[in-house]
Amino acid sequence: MDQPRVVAFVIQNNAGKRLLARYYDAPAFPTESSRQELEEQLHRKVAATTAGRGGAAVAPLSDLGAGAPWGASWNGDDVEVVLLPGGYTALAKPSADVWLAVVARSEENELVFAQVLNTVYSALSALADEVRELRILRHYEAALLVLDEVLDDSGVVLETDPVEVQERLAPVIARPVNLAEQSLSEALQNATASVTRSLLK
Amino acid sequence: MSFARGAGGGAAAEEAAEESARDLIFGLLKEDDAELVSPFQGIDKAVVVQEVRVFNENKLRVARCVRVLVRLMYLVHQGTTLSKAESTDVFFAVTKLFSCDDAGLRRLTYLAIKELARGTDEVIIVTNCLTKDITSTVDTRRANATRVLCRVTDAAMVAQIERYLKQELVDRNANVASAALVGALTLLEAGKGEQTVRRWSSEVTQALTHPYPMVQYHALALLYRLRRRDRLALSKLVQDVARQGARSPLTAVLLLRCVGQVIEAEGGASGANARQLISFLESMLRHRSDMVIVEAARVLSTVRGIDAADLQPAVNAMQIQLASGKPVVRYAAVRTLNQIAAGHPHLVSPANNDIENLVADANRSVATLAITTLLRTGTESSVDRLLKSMNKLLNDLSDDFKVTVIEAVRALTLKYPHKHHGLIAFLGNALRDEGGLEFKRAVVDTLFIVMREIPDAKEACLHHLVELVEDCEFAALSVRVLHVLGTEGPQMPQPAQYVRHIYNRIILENPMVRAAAVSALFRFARVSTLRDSIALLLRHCLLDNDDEVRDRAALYLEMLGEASSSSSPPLMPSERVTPTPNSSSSSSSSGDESVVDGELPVPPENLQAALVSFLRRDEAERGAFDVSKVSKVPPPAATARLSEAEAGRARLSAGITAVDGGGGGGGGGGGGGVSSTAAGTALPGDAAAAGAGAAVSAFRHPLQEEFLRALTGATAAATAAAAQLPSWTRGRSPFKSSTVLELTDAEAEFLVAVMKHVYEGEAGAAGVLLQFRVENTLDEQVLAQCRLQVDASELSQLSVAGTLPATVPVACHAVAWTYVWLEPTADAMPPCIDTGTLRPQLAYVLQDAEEASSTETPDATAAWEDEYGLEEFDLDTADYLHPVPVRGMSFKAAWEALGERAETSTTLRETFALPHESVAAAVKAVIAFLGMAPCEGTERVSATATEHVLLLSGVFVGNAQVLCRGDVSAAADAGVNLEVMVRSEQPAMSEIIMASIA
Repeated sequence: MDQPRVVAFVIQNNAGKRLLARYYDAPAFPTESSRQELEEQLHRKVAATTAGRGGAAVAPLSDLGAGAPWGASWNGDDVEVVLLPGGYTALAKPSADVWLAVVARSEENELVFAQVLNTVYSALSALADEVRELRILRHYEAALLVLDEVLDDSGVVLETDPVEVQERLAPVIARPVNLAEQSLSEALQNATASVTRSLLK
Repeated sequence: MSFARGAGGGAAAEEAAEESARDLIFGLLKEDDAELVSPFQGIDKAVVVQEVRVFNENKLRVARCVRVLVRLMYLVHQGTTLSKAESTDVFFAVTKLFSCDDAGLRRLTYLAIKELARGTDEVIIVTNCLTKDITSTVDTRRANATRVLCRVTDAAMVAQIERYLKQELVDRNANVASAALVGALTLLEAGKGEQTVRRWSSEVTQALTHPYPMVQYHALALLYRLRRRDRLALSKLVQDVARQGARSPLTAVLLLRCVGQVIEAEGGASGANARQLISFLESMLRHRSDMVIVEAARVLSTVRGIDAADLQPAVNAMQIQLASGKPVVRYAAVRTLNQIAAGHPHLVSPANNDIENLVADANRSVATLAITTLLRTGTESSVDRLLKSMNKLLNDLSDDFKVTVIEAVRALTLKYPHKHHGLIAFLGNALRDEGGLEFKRAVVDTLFIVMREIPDAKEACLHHLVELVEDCEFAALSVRVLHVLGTEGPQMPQPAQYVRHIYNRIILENPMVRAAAVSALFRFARVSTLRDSIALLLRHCLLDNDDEVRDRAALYLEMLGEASSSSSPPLMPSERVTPTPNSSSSSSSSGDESVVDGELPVPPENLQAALVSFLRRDEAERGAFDVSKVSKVPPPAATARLSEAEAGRARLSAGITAVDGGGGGGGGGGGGGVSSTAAGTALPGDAAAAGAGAAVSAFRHPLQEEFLRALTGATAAATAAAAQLPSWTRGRSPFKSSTVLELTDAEAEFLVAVMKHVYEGEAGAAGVLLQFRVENTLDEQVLAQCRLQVDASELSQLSVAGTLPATVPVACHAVAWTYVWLEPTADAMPPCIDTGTLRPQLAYVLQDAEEASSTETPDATAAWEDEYGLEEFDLDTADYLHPVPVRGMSFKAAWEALGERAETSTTLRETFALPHESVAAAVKAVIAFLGMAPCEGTERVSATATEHVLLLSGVFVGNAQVLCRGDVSAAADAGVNLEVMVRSEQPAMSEIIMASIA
């Protein structure tokens, strides 16, 4: 018996390409090829498990933005369960053009990991503005640090409250520039100034 | 933009400007996000490794450093591996970043250190910086530095940081306290400073009362880890936390697991405090959090010997969860019910209505699990309804889910034989549906098993199978089905109806299927009314354009007594056909048909090899072929294949392969050398085994390969050595060769390794040949002479009979082979199987390399003799034994057959106490120790099992079968009890097994 531990956390795009993958159980997946194998399975099974539901899942737009009421209850409506070979279960959550997935041993309590998944998702969507492929790549440090706050390197769950994670990381990660906060003329002015400056150098 | 900071020198300003410009352009294009390129487009390891140089600048440019670090981490997370040198360079560059105080940069630095720190030197460098961070005033920094430090530090340094960690455990800041608790757990698990961590017990207990829920959780996890072996301490911990109340669902989940552990440790449901603890578990079923309810139900379901009445609330709670709107909750609930249904199906069946609703669940994992649960709980009356809903669902499932469903149907059919009509109709429909090979094979396997177990269902099954071969895209499957039609069809009331379907195959199919169809047709000749028609049909096959089909037809016509030459021009020289009928009639009393029909007593691969070598010999000297001389031990590739294959299917296909391969082997052997088509007609797995040579080498270690090449290879050295080895090794391969054992350290001057070969004699072991590989690693010196001395005084049946020194001097960095052999002593009793420890010693004469080459006759003074003690090694039972699973019948049948076979067979029974922690561990150890093959999937044990029956089978030297049944059960206090029954053809063998366990 042990406390619940995450085996791996994977973010992949709709085509199954890895954006980020952290493996917490290195002995179980020692080599890069074994990891890619798992992710490939994950990608295929996510598609198969949710087949017959009209293609790729659509991001629940209402979940986005920091204003949503996170609190103690969590939103598990769109977390899918996928069985992987080797005795692993993955919980996967779609968001725009990516899937977030947490992999655990099959005998584990799925609901614990559904909560982990939602914590990561909520914190990330607040810090990276929106959980989609390019956003994650451009805010890669946010993704890395959110994972580091939620899960210890041993796979132990560190924190399940997304607001807490967000608050801890807020001083570290600057909020992304929001177009709405900047008028178009301001933006153009800034851009021209910067370009001119770098040309003159 | 992420990390733009205005401050800094000119360079930093430029950096910021660039960043903001880029970001703006990105921003303006935001509508078209999808068109944008990834910031990591074209990223290259070499470039990034160069980029880390910016960390060495005097005035660090934060934004740039962050960007480089992120790129580095991206590479690492994409699976790029840095070489040792690169990693060290990057690591030392990263340590420079501690000079900058930027919070974001520091966090990324921590991440990089965790990824890169490997060696001791590296750890020492960062320890100081990290210790400084731990004593800083910023709480998040303290917390994160603590986690990094605990991860990378080594055992020697734990004492240095103890003071800080101990303080942090009781820190008011939740983040810091959690980090220290998790860090302490990390230390424990890495085996670093266990004693130190144990001293913090009171601080950790204090942390349990921290108001922030996660701290309580981490404290509980750490305390459990510290006390899990101490039943009383664990029990007290559970009571403390239960009284305080779990402040988060996560803590509650962990508490429930601890409770389960305490109940188990106190002896299950009948234990001392079980009543109280079980009612605590039940109360948690009313928790407001789903995850706690599910955990409570699962813990309840695993309590040993729990009453149905105590489990009922768990079922009810799960039933409510089934209606949840969240797929993951439904999944968790149905999985729990599935688990309960395994032991208490009647408890779950009232919930069947709700579970049935899930069969149409949008999430396929939920739907499949629902079906398998229903199939477990289904009563005889609900089967029909269940089948109806499954029919609708099956089409939407992917293949691997379909296979799961088919396997569940198989179980249900065997459970309710009366319902086979509906179930077989369902399987028939499934066969007609679209589906891949795996799925079709699962259905066909199921039909085969049902036919075997439920004789009434045979006709219906055959009906579906006939339909399948009419339209089957998988040749391998057709071959198997045709074979079964051939064996079962003639016994049916109306065998003629099958003949037409089978003959259709001969007209329409590819050669592989045609050949199988010919074999199947022949079996119908047994029915007297059909005999003439079959002969006619077979004669048509003589005109087939495929060799294999013609060969088989000719062989069968010969067996029917219809000469092939009478109807058509001879297609092959007639004497090539004769050996098979001759050989089979001489070897077995049942005559010709045994080649085609019967269970083969030996693996088909061996029979094939034996027949090929038989045909190579002169007709005059070879005499009659004797099947009983063929080894029962399958070639290694076949063994490996069997052990890998899924147990249930392996059992099934072993039976079928044996028969089918036997038919193919017999026919092919009859036609002279085995043609490639003969191998082609076998199943895919069988084809792999037929190419055994190639497959074997894939399984073997390279060193292993080298040993065998030196012993049996065609090299000059091997031939020279072979002439001097004892006669019982000459011209034969060993019965069993062990793995290679290293007898020296990797740094020794001479590297010695040994391989044990056991040779088979008349009634047991003829002798043991020890093959030593000696490698000279010295630069300047040559081993002029070298031989091995082995002290075998511990053995009573075997003694050292001779040695063969290295034939040539061992040059620098060269390898030589030397042998020692053991033979039975004069008063040894067959089967001469002896075990014990052997003590080897290397005796050699050392000489300078230059002298050895310059002078013809080396100067005696320049050489010196010496001896060198090597590590001891054991001769084990496993060295005399091949793990061979029971073939072609169930273990029970084999066990009884062995009991009846001869008066010499004996059964011994004995009980042993083993020190293993769990039943699963004990089972694994027993298999590894005896080296026998587990049968019927009994090697698989659930981790929590408290009882298990292990069935083992093997063939001892002397071709004697040994079966072993072990009842493993958890002992009341500690450890595991093992009750063993051994049965073998020779009493001595059983005794040897028993003695080796003791």
